[in-house]
Formats: sequence, structure tokens, C-alpha cells
Amino acid sequence: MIRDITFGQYYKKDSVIHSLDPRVKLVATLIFLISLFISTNIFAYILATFFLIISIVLCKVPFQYIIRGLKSLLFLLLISIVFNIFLTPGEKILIFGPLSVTKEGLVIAIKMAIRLIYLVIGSSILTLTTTPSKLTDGLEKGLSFLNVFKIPVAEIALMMSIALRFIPILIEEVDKIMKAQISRGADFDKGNLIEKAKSLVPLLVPLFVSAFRRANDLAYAMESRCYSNNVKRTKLRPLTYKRIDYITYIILLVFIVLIFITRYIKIDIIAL
Amino acid sequence: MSILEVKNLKYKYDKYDDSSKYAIDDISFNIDEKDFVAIIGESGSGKSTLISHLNGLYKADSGEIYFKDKNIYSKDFDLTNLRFKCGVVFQYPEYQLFSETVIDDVAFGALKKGLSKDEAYDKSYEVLKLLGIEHLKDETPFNLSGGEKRKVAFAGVFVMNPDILIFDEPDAGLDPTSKVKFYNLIKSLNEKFGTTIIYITHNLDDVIEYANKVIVLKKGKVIKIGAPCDVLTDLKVMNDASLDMPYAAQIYHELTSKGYNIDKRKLKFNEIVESLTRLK
Repeated sequence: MIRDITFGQYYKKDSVIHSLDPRVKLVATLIFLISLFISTNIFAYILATFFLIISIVLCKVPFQYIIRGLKSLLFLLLISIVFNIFLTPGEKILIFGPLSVTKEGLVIAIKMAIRLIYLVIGSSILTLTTTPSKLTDGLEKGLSFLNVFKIPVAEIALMMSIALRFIPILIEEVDKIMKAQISRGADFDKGNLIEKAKSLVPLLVPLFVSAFRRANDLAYAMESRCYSNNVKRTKLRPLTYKRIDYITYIILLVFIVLIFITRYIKIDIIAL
Repeated sequence: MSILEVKNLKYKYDKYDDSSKYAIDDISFNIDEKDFVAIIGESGSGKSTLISHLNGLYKADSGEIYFKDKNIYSKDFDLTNLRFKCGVVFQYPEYQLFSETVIDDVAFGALKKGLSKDEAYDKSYEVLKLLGIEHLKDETPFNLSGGEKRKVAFAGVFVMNPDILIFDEPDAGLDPTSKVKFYNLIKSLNEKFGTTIIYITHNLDDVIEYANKVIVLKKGKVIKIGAPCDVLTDLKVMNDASLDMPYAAQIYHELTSKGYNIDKRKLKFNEIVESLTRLK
């Protein structure tokens, strides 16, 4: 279960998406997320689906691996669907005692579920195809204009990169701790929800100890390599745009324009 | 009598990628009761992955494991019971320690096994005493030194009274004196109580000294199984496994190449000293 979390993990493959400049991928993710939230009708969702399918195919990361991350989202997804289906006022189509399903509720629930799933898959593709160090470089360079406002972009990017890098490490540690405890008779699958939650407490202590130890070690390692936030650092491999990056920007521009155009197509999604 | 039988075991971490390599690739071997088995191989050869299969923590992609002639992957097999019978001490002891005090931590397995609180704590104290760390019983395990943590982690497994003890690099982090004491302790468990010992190590001199069987892994495959004196003196096997020969094996080769008659089956420290004394 714990190993099903794919968010923040890098998956090594030789693909077009992997080779893109991290800035392009950051922009693409941002545009995709915006497109999900401004989509108003079925054409926009079809476009977003098409965009996502193309990205999944091109990134060469196994589809089952990408959707593995959705398992941990199932609970949130269920809550969102149930609340939207039953609590949205509108035209009633099914009645279960005091509860009723409305047409509007059903549409909103489907929309929310699609948004949530696409959001997780879309952002997972970014981290699955970009190493934390490249992501940091991309963020740092992409947001460097904020330096004018005295915002410490490099430090923020480094913090984000460390946080991202630690996700798979901590997941792996939880897995190891669980296995060590299972070896001594612990059973994380037995009992009701409260018992299951209680059995997770012994996991937290070593996990926190380990996380603090790692943070401490990392701080020492950075200090011993003369890390300081007051100096301007150069890059071993400075980011430069290639032809494929410019082409991707054009595709992204076309995509977002098309999404905007779909907003003016007058079709009632409920009627579809 | 065989206590553990591994048949055609295969396992890979990345199950989504057909091109990914097997961490365990068609491994078969047999471990008898009272065996003292060393698993050796370079880093990444699949040693730790293999031992995680032996108590059912990892489920193999294919193949079978038999514990006392029962298939551990069969539906009616009690895996929790296997974990009490087949105790694993992991490479990093800090992952195994989680309670507030050392004695609470050691008692965890005993309590899970069904012992009463008094019994579990009495037994835990006995085990701590056996390991010479009873003075640490009320300490928090996280403030201990690396060697002490390792001993506490061992105590936590040993208290379950397992038939098989599996160690992942048990001597890492132990000072030389503690290391000798530790190996002597597990050797005495093996000889007095018949506990089967399986351990991963990079220290091949100790393999000659303590083990009666050695399994050599390379890229997830077993390349040789046999008595340490046969396996560790085999130049081809050691080269294939990218391992350096232990000193005793090197001495054996040097002397035999110079025409001296050295008994290959007697390569333990005392035995080789005796052989050398005889040469004089």
C-alpha cells in the first residue's frame, strides 16, 4: 500500500518527455491544471483527456505505475463523489429515503472525479519524468524574475527539491519499518479502522527519528560543502532550450487556446 | 532434515516494466536444520531481497519456499507464525526499534506471540542479560550507539525463540571485540539449541570461521553453494562473484602453489596456524 504512492518519485526512461527542459514541463503541468479548472463542457474534457493520453504514451512510464498513485486517493475521491452526488440541489433522478441523487450533483461529481484524477496523473507525470535536481533548476530559472522583488527563489527551489526528494525516501523508510515490525508479529491489516490507525503509531516514532537524523545529516553535508544562501551559484549543466522545447511551447499554446475556445461552444453538459 | 527449501524463486521490484531485471532470478537451494549459512555476494546481488522472502515479507513472482515441508505461499499457511519461527534482524537496526524503552521494544515480539506481560518482560530481561545489555533496559533505544542498537534489535527477534535466525550484515557497526562475542553467541545458539543461522556478510574470513555452508550470489542468481573451504578457495567462483578471497584461502593457495601440503578442509584460524606450525 505504502509503495503505491508514486507522487514525487522519478521513473528513469529514455523518452521525449524525460528529455524536455524542466521549465517546459513545469509550464505544461501548470497549463494542464489551469485547463482542468476552466473546462466547462465536454469538449474541454475531451481535449484534456487527449492531452493526457499523449503525455502518458510519450513519457513511456508504464500506465499501471502511473495510476498506482491513484489508489491512495480513492478515499478522498469517494468522499468527494458522495458529497457532490447527495448534497447538490437540483433535479432529482433517484431517491433513497431522505437522500436523493440529482442530475446536477451527478454531473458535478463526475467532473470533480475527473479533475482530481487528471490532476494527480498530470502532476505525477511531471515528477516521474523529472529528477528533483532538474526540477529545482527549472523552478529556479523559471522564477528567477522574482529576484527583482528580493524573493529568495534559489532557496525556495532548493527547499522544494529537498521536500520532493524526501518523499520517496520516507516512503521507502516507512516500508522498511513496517516490514521490520511485521517480522516481529505486527499486523497492519487486522482489526477495525481505529485498531489499524493505532497500529500505525509505532511507525511514526522511528520515521520521525529517521527524518530528523536525515535532515541533520543533510544540513551538515551542505555546510561541509560550503553551502551559503548569500552567494550566487553557477550550474554544472546550465538549462538551455532545444528545438523540441520550443515546439512543445507552441503545442501548449495551441492547447490552452483551444480550451478557451471550448468555453464559447454553447453546449449544455447536462444535456449530453 | 531440511528446514527451508527454496525452489526456482523469481522476484523483480519493477513489475510494470518488462525490460527490468530480476532481483532474484531463479534461485533454488536447501537449508538443513542446525545449518550455519552465510550468504555472500557483491552489493546489489540480491542478498537482502532474498532474505526478505524467507519469512514471507516479500511474495515471489514465481517459485516456492517450503518451511518444514510446507509451502509458505499456500492459502492455509500461517505467515505470522512463520515470522515468529523465522526471525529476521535487518541491516539497519533503527528501523526495528520504535518503543519508548529498550525492554518495551524487546518485549514487543514476545507479546505479539501471545506471552503474558510478565512472561514477556521476564524473558526480555533474560535475553538482554544474555547479550550483556541489561543495564540499558530503561533507556530509549534511539539514544544508543550503533552497536547497542544492533544488540537490542537482535534481542527483539531472539526473544521470540525462533527456529531460524536470519541476519543482514550482523557485524556492521560492531567493534572487533563485540563482533567476536556476537559470533560466538550465535554459534553457541546454533550448537546448543540447534538454531539454524542464515546471515549475510562481506567478511569472508568469518565465513570460514563460523559457517558450514555458503551461498554465493551474483546478479540475483546463485553461482555456487557448498562448504566454505570449497567455495571460498575456488578462484573461478570468487572471480565470477567479484569477491576477494579470504586470507585463509589466499594462504592455502600460496602454500599449495609452492608445493606445501595444506588440508583445504582445515582453514579456520586455529587450524591454519596448526598446519603452518606443522610445516616448520
